[in-house]
Amino acid sequence: MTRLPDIQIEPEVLAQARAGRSDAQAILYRAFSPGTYAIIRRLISRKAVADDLLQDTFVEILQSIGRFRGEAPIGAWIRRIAVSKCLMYLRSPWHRSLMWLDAQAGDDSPAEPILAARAPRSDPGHQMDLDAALQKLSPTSRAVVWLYDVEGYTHEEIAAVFGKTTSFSKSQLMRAHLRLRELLDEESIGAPCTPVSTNS
Amino acid sequence: MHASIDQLLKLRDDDSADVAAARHVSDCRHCHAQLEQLRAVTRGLRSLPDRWTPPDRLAAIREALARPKRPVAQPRARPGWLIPAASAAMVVVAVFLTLDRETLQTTPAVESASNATGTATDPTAVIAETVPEERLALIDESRRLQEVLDTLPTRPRIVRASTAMTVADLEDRIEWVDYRLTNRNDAGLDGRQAERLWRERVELLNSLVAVRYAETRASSF
Repeated sequence: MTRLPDIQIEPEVLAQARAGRSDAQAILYRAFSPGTYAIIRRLISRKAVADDLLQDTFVEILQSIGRFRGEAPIGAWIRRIAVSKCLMYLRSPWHRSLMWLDAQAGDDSPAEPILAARAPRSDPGHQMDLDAALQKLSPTSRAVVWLYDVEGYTHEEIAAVFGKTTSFSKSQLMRAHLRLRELLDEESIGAPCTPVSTNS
Repeated sequence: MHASIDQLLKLRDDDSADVAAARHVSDCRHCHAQLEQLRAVTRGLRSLPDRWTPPDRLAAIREALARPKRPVAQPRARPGWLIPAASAAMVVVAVFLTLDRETLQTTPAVESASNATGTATDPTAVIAETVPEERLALIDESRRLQEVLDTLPTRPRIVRASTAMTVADLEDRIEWVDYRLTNRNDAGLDGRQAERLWRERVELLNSLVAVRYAETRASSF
């Protein structure tokens, strides 16, 4: 998995994209759209919405590229725009309405975390893989755990993009890991404290 | 007593401030396993493959870029404060007119300066060119929500009192945010404060859209 901030682009391409050259814009899109889309899909389960957010993200990138000062990698700048778009969508009433409608319809799509979360526990022989478990988290928890654990955001940065406090970020991260632990069907809950030395 | 998830996360992140928890985890088999599991999960998350192919939206992006940007939707005028403000302005002008001719000569300049610094209700009228990306995104979202509001059907003539009060309250709060944004230069607000106001405006508009949408749905039954 290539992280967006690690993707390099020629300064000439950047300058040409700033000047509105369509071939340079195409190079930017081809270089950064896979990584950008990967983040968007991690945060947004619905493909159609993710596709639109990718488009919105690149429209904004290409409209604002003249203001990119190059103080940070361009991939980090692109990532910030994409994350901001995703979080705005997650906060929107349309997203909340969709979640409610799905819950009413008994939809067990990945956008709905709670309904199907306990299914794997009834089948102890099956361990849900991490990717599927991640998709079962609530959108907010998934976004926080992904931004903190994978993208390397700090709690302060997460709090800023959500418009909340660092306590919010920390509690969401804890909740996400507790849920992941449950989904991955760990068996150690409730086990007594046993010294390491007696078991190794 | 086992280590909490909070303590385990801190230990995973090499935050060694909690010495007692670190000592416990090193001695307790269960907690030790929990910490290792946490580390494994983190490693697993970081190594998840990108399994999606992005759609080819380049043509649509170019089309969107070629379209002239729509003007920012004007927040609706609120007679609640506009009328008193306009009345006050008229009184001030009338007072100037009754003063000596020398003062009169300066009046147009004062008026035009006043217009330039934002007696308009559109908070975007005073946006500088060097606006940070976060705030630009909020401004775009604000504009989008305003457009969504404009597309909703006209409000029904008969509504629940509680809904009407909620809508009025949200509109008043948006109006107050707009007023502060419009006059932020005079009030000396810095960029962070302006961004907070834009965020507040987006959240209020979000709520207003939700209420208006629910109202529309209810009235259609």
